[in-house]
Amino acid sequence: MVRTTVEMLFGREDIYRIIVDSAEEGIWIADKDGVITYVNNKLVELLGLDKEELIGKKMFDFTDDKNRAIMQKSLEESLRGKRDNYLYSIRNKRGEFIPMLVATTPMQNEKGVYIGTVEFMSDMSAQKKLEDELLRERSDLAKTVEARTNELQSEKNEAELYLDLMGHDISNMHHIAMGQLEIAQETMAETGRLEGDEKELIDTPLRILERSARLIDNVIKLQKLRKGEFEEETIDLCNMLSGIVKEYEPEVPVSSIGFVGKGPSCVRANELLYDVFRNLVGNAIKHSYRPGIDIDIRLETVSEDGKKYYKVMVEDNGPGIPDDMKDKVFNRLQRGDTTARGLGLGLYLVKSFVDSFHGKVRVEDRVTGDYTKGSRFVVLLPAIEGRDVC
Amino acid sequence: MSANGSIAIVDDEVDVVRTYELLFKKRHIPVSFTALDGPDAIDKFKKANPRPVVVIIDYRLPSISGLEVMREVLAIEPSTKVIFISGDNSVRQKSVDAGAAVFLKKPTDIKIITDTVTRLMNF
Repeated sequence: MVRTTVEMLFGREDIYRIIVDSAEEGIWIADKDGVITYVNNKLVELLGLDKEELIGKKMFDFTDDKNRAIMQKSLEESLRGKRDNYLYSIRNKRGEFIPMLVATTPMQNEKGVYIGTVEFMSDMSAQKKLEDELLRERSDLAKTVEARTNELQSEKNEAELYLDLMGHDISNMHHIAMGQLEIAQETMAETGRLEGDEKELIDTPLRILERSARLIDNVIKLQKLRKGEFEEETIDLCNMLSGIVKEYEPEVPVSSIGFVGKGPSCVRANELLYDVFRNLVGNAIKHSYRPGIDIDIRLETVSEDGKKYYKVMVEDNGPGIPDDMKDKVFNRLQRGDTTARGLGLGLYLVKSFVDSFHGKVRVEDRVTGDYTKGSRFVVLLPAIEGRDVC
Repeated sequence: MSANGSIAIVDDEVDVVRTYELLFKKRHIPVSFTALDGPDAIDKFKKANPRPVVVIIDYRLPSISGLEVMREVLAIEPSTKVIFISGDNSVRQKSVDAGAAVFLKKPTDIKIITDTVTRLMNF
């Protein structure tokens, strides 16, 4: 065999040792069972462990279950005489895991018998850190995009709501008011007066214009709510409900509205809470069968999902709401090309307002399983407990 | 004004229906029936004898849309003249494609409604 000048100066084993010990990669040699038989200086430096702490131990002792499987595979493939690259992490002295790109090479003796594997390891910590940063940035960006998309969607929904109100509700109101006033005008031109039932030709447009004004008022409230322009205060729910009942009593036959509740029942809300219950009681009166309006309002304390709430139930004896309409009645925007009779912006507002008080609203059958016996609107509002006065 | 046949009104808004009733009463146009939703309209149309010549149908109705009601009505009696009405102008083409004789955008003045109904009844 021809010996080179360097080999003549240092000897072949010395040359190999110089190469291995000056390598920028960490190197360990393990036998077929994974027992470490050699480590170079770089690996000692990378792991912060002494050679004595590594040699004689199994390579698997320096990693976790997840990485152990990859390490095992690298050893098995090497045993089959296969060279390959793997990515696994090794635990250093401080218990931190260092991600390594590992190139494995099977070792054979002079007779071609497998005696172990040499693994060359490149520290990938810097690349991994960069990768993590990129992933984090990507995730932050995705969150920002999602938040902005939600914002835009909510703005789009609101714009659609206003378009819908103009395209449907306001157009309808103008259609009625214009139509009846034109008929009134024509009648006046013919006879010089409106007689008997013809007075409705003035009364209806007036009522419709009042409705239109209420709708505009509600849209303004909705906009103010979105902008956070209402100031919260502590409100006695029991007191408020009693007031609303008294307000409506003159409009209905005696004893048509019952109210059971105990005060003080303090909640955090704003002036819109009054609109919530005025709307629900007003709807109950509007939709109850006549004669024989039968409206029950109950105020109770309940626990739901581990939280205390005041539960207000407003029950009517109207035609009820079928199951497939129960969720839709609160969501004006999901109505598409069909609509729920008599439902303007009212229940959408109720839900928007109750949501803003961190409450819940739903509609149930007054008689479970038979929607035709009337509806029960349920409002849950987080209770402020232990107050003698709100 | 004389009318050949009668008219039907389909709209979920009671006050809209009442406005048409007052108008057609004044114009001596008989109203065959009124309906506040699609299924009721289809049921009444099937039972009407004679059937109304003209039907005014609003686009947005509970449970099924005005377009569906119009398709059903025309399937039962293809010679029916449907006046399709909505505050949403984007429905115009859809309604005409589905067989509406005329599309009217709400709000509409009573002269246009009267002229349209008269023209369709005497067609």
